[in-house]
Amino acid sequence: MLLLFVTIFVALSLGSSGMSMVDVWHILWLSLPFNDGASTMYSAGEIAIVTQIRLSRVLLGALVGASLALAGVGFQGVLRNPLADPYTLGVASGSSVGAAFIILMGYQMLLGLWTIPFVAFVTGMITIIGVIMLARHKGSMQIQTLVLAGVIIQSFLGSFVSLMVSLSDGVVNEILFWIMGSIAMKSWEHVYLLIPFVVVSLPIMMMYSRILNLLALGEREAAYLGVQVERSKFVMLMICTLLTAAAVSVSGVIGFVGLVVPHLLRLMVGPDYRLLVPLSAIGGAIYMIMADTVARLVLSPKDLPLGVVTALIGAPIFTYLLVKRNKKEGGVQSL
Amino acid sequence: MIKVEQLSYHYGDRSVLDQFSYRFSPSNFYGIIGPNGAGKSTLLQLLAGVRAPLSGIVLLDDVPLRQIPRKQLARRIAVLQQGGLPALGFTVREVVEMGRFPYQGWLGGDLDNRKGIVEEALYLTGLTKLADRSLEQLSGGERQRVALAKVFVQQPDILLLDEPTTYLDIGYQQMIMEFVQQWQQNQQLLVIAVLHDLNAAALYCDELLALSNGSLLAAGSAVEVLTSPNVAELYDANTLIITHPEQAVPQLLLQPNKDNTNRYFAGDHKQNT
Repeated sequence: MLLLFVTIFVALSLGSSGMSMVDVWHILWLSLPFNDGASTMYSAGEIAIVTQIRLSRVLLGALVGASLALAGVGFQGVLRNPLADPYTLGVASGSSVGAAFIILMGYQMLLGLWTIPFVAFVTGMITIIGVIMLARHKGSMQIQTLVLAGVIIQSFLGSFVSLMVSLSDGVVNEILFWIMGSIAMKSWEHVYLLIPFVVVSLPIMMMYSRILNLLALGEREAAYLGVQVERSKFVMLMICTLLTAAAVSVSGVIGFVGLVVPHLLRLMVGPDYRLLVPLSAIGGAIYMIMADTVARLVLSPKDLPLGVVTALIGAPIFTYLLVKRNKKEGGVQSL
Repeated sequence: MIKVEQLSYHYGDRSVLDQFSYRFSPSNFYGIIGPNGAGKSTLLQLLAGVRAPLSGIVLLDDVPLRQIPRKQLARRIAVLQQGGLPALGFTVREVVEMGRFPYQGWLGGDLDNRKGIVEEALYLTGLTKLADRSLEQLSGGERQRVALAKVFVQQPDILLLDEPTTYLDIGYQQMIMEFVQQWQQNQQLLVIAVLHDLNAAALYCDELLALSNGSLLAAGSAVEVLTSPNVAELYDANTLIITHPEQAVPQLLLQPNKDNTNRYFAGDHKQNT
């Protein structure tokens, strides 16, 4: 939690506009409701950069990261599959197909700002059900089959998105932008859109964390201990898909967060979901803000695609921890 | 206590239980025996309520089992499966605590206020020293002991065992069976155990049920059920049945077939001629 605040502090302070840290925080301080605004001391442009662009971007990053990491930890728990995350299961691709379709047809505002999240949720949900049905064989689900099914569906849907990109002319950039994954050029509206998803999902998932622990023993074992397995799985899959859809509709497809953050935490605090769920939300937020700050600064003033950064940072860290762990325990361990 | 009426179940067109009826009375140790595929495990899952019968009904104290909420049911019925628990990163104590789930509220508080029972279970199963080890550091036999401690803290009055000693060495087999027997006698449990080991079934069970092709072939004491003709009919095996020198129960010895050389390899491949 402390680390989250430090990260937010650093991320807010750094930027390509050449303002000093002191200026940034002074503007933020003066913009608080009980002060009379910063307009007397700073130019309108400077104020806008801090309050309109940078602050909303950092908060949005935190929310997107928290959503994706929560979805990842939820999918991993419910499917008892270390490789499950919004990306590998194809849910993210499913959601982006819906989003891309809406953009292509120009229906973005049919239901207002909620159009894309809603459609993304529906197509994401259809995708996860499809993947699970594909992977299910005589009532049991093999880990490898599930991931295989996810990858197949993901590439199938990916080609759909590409098809839509080539079909459209004027809106090419907007769809491509989804595929790359970015939280640049967003506004406070998007922050407000994501907040309810995270605020509602987090407590529900924390209530379900003990059930996720029992599910780790096996579905039948959990049922013998009094868990309503099918209902719990359904609720968790719904929540995780909702979180994914919400995140994707705002930021596009950002890989690696949902996979890496829960695993990093698992290596640090163990397999207990009562810790993993809340820590994933915090960890996902930290990870995303860091990645986005790097994305903003490396080629400043140009932005790197965020998905590139999350993978570039995530993969080596993950590998390092995996190797270290295997050395310590003297053998290949299942995650 | 548990009454089963006209229970039928099939997978596809393969019938595994056919109009099976029986009445299990309290504080008795039942053993269910029979060949692979005779419907023993399916019966146990129906009794545990995790599988719905295709026809017929299971009654727990005259209430249809499937109408009882899962969590409430888990306070009455516990199940010890074969093969124990997966190798996870959870510690022994954490897993045993999971057995208290049916007694916990949404926030995880123990409604029955019996925190001490976890330590008691660890002590009784000899796991106190291993309590802070993670499951992945334990052997298969030790993990099955953890599973046993976990069903113990569940405080059931009905215990179902599904081949609980499969894959274990005889030391662990004896430990598990004697623990269950003493627990059963102390707290007047109803125990229903699916067992492959007929000698263990004869030693520890009060009553045996022999299942063959989804229906009851024989039921009664070990002396009544474990007869050479019954065993031959159930398993197509040639056995010699003797009486345990100290326990007065039947024990089985395999009896090699005299014409064994020709039974499987009759034809062109004459062996050692």
